[in-house]
Amino acid sequence: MIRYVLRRSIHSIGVAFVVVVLVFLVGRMVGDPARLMLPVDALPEQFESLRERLGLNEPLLTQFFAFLGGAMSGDFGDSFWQKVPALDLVLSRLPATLLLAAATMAIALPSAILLGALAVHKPGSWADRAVNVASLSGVSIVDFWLGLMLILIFSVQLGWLPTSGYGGIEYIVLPAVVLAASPLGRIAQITRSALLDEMSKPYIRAARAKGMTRRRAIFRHGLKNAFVPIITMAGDETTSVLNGAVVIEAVFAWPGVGLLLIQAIQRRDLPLIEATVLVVAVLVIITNLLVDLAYAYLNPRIRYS
Amino acid sequence: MTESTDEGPPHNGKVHFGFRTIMAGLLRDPVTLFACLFLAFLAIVAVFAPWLVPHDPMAQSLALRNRPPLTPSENGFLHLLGTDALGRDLLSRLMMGAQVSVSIGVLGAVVSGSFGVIMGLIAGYYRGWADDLIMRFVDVMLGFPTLLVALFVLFVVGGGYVNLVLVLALTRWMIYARVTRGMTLALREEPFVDGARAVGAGDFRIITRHILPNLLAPLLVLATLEVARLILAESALSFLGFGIQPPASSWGLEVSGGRSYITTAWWLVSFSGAAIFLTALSLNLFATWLRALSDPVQRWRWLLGKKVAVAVMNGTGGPEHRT
Repeated sequence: MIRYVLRRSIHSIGVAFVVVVLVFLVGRMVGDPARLMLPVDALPEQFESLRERLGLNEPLLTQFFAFLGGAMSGDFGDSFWQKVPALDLVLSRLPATLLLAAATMAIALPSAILLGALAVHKPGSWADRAVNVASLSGVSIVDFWLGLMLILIFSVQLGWLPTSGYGGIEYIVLPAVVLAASPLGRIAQITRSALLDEMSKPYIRAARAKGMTRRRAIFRHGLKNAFVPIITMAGDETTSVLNGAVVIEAVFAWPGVGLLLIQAIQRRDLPLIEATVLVVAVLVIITNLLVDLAYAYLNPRIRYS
Repeated sequence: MTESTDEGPPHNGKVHFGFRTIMAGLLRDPVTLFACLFLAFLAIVAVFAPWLVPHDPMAQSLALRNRPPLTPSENGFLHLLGTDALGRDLLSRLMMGAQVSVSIGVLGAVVSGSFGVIMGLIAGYYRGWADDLIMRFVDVMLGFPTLLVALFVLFVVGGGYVNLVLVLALTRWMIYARVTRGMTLALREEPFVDGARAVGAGDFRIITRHILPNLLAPLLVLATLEVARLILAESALSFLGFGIQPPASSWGLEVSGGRSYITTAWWLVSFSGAAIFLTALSLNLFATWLRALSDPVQRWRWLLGKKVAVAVMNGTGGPEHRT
C-alpha cells in the first residue's frame, strides 16, 4: 500500500506541474499579459512600464522559472484589484467553496443511494422507471437555469429563502440543492446498476432462499458490496462539483473561489486569475488522489497492478 | 447495429431487426419515442432556422419590450413565446440559438471524438512507448478542473464560435481515447485480426477495416452523451459571458439576457433553459436506447417487449424480476 501511495502521490505532483506549465504557457505565450491586463486604449508607455515591472522583457525561460518558483512558494504577486497577495485572497474564499461542496455531497450521496435502492427493489416497475427518468433529468439539467428557477419560485414568489448571499443555513440550501442535481443523477444510476449486479449473485440468492426480504437483502448485504463503485463515482462527482461551483456561485453571489475567478476575469486581474485556477486545480488533484487511495484501500487488486 | 449475421436468441417466430420492429418497439416505449421525435424536430429547426423563424430574430422594437407569450404582432404570427428586453421575438431567437448551440455540441463532439479515437487507436494498437505517453497525458488531463481551464483559455484567446468549439474539444477528447484504447486492446488479439495479418493486411488496413468498425456502436453512444455534455458546457460558458458573444444568439446567452428580468418577464429564462434541458434529456434518453440496441441481449428484450423476451430467453415463460 505504501508503494502505491508513493506512486500515486508522485503522479499527482506531476499533474500539478503540468497545470503550472499550462497556465504559464497560455497566460504568457498565447496571450500577452500586458495586453490582457491593460485597457485597450492604454498608451504605449504604459505597456512598456508594465512589461518592465512584470519582468516580461526577460528571456522566456527566466520568466518560467520565476513563475514556477512563485507558484511553489505560493507567491503569485499582488492582485491588481485588491492590492493584496493573490494567494491570500483565494485562500480567504476557499472555506465558502468547501462548505458548499460538502453540503452538496451531503444532499446528493444519501438521496442517490436511496433512489438507487428504490429502483432495484422492483426492477422494471414504475418506481424503477421514475428513478431512471429522474436521474437522467438530474444529469441533463442546466444547473444555472435550475438555480434561477428555484430563486424565482422559493425566493421571489414564496419568499421562503434568500435569493443570494452568504450567512446562515438558509443561504446554502438553494445553491447546494442545485449543485446536487447532477451528482445525484449519476450516483443514483451507478447505485442501481451496481446493486442489480450484486442482487444476482449467489450469496444474495442464498439469503433470499432462507426467507430474507428483498429490501433487507438490499440494505444488509447488497449495498455493502456495491459500495466500491458508488464511492468512486461520488469522488469523481466531488471534483465536478468543485468545477460547477464556478457558475452556481456566480448565480447565488456565494463568496467562494468560483465567484472570485469570475470577478478577477472581469477586472482582468491576471495574478489573481492564475492563483485561483492553480488553487482549484490543486484542490481537484488532491480530491482525485484521495479518491484513488480510498479505492485502492477498498479494492486490493488495484494496488498491485 | 449494422451487422446482419446476428440472429438473436432462438425462438419460434422470426423477428427481423429492421425498421418495423424498431417502430413497434418505440410505440411501446413512449419516453424514448418522445426523445427521438424531439431530436428530429430539433435537427430540422437547427438546420433550417433562418428560413423557419416567424420573425426577424434581430429586429428590435421599443413598443414590444418584454411582452408575455402569445402577444399578437403586425405580421400575423403571434409572438408565441413572448419578446425579450429589446422587443425581439424569443421563439425566433431560440431557433437561431438552436443552430449555434446544437452545432457547437455536434462539432465539439466530432473534433474531440476524432482526435480522441485516433489517440486511443494508436495507444491500443501499437502499445509500447506511444501507449505510455498518450495514456499518461490522458490521465494528467483528466485530473484537470476542465471548466476552469476552459474559462482561463477563453479569457486569453477570447470567446466566439471557433474558439469555443476548440476549447470544448480540448477538454473532452480524453474519454474517447480511454474507451477506444480499452476496446482496441481486446480487439487486436482477436482471431480475425490475426487472420487479416496472415493474408498480408497492413496496420492501416487492419485498424480502419477490422478494428474501427467494431468500435462504432459504443463510440456512437459515447458521442451522443458527449453532445449533451458539450451543449450544457457551451450554455454555461456563454451564460458567464465567455462563449458566444451578443448580438449572436445561443441558449446560454438567452438565459443570461433574461436573468435581469426574472421577476418581471419569467418567460425569457424559463423557455431558454427549458430548451437546453429538453435537448440534453432527449440526448441522454436516446443514448440509453442506442446502448440497449447495440447490446444483443437488451436489444431482443426491447424489440420483443419485456415479457416475451424473458420467456424466450429462459425457455420457460413467466415474467421474472431480473434485469
